[in-house]
Amino acid sequence: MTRKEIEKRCREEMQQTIPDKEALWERIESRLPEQQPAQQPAGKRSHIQMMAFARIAAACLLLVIVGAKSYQMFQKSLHPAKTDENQSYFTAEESSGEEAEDSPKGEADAWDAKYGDAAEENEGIAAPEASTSDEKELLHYSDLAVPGSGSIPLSVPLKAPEGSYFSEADVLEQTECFVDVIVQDGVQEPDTGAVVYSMEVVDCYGAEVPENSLTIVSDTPYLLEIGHEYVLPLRQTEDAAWALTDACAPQFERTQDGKVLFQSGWYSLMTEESVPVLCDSRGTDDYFYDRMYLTGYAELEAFLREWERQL
Amino acid sequence: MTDAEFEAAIGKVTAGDKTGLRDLYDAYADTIYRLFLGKVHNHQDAEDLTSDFFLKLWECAAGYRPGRGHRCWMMTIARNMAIDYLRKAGHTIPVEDAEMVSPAALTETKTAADTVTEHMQTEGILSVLPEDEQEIVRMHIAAELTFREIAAILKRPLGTISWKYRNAIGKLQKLAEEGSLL
Repeated sequence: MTRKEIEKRCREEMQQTIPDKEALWERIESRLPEQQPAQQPAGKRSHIQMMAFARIAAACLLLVIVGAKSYQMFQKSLHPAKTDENQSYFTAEESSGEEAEDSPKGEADAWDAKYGDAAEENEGIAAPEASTSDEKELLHYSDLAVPGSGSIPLSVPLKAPEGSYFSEADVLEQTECFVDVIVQDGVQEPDTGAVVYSMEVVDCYGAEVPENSLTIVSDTPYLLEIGHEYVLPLRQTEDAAWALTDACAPQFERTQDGKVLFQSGWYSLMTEESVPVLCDSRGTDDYFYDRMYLTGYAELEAFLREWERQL
Repeated sequence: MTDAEFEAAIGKVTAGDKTGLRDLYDAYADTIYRLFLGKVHNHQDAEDLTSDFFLKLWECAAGYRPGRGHRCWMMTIARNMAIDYLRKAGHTIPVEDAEMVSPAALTETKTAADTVTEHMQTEGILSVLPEDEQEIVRMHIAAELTFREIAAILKRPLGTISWKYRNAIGKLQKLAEEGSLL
């Protein structure tokens, strides 16, 4: 019996339900009238009500912004020449005159690639007419609340296997568990080039890994950093070792302020709240440095819970 | 139930609207009942406690603070109620039950294996585990709480919870391999 089967057995055993749920509710309800809910002090609203008012106010504000934006886009489509000065921060940067042309081509390409792609993917998220707020929308990895660099020295460069690409559905299907880990150490094996990571397990979703500490051997070029916290999709290999389900893309990285960095291939996590984050390119084969996003860890947790339920 | 749905329901309860409590009951009654059942091992007592739990929610709904995880809040209330109940009932964990923590030792002899089997027949497979491990397994599997949430409720380090859970599942797995698990 595998651990997964044991957990399934436990789950089945814990499926007891209230024998007569309706009768129990009637019993509760019959005792309710005598018990008034806790009264709130006069003139003082509860947190719940305050939150509800705040939400309604936020929704109204959002409606006004969306309406104004739609109107502006409509106007723009009718009179494109008039709205040139209102073009987006990203587009403005791309065509910002002689300085960009004078700069070395490589740098300009890198800039365009970084900001151009981020702009494409960020369309509809940022308010284009206010460049200051746009600048706030685009974060750099160095802005994130993560520990300092814990780079693992490499003697052999690592490359993503050719022809491999990330697919959320495939990764979810092949993954047996997601583990929240803190990387303790990483050493590259000189003969294979793969990095042997030692990790401390913080939390698990799906199947459980057997130990508090975990060793994973991986040749992913998206190196994990020592001291950083990640959420990794894992599968068991034929020799019962745990391995990354997908090594051709960056993994989820947790920040110390309750957020998580993820790559845009996890499309289920992409919302209007997701904030683009620019990372330093790891080289010409880094396809994700400008396709990273930040969201709340609660979003990832809900996503993993849903995945866990469908196991 | 998401936090937003919970907040809407608890908001209704605070305003004295019974439909809010009914929503909470529909969503969580079985989970709460299972948790109580795991603690008191008696269907009638578990039902009584579940009923008292929802009446308590009706009373203390205004005490809920959004943004702190509603399941954690509810499970803490349920757990405290179960502990109070067991205290009142003068419940103590028998030494022989506490010694059940070592399935390896139990399965060394035929008599011990029989004891494990008897326990499982009457109490389910979790009964071979010590109380604290049973509680963690129930919270994680039946109540779908994360280790982080369990650690917050039980006020114990996250690593301890994670380790105890894996340890518990490992014990059951070992019993299964030895053929002692029903």
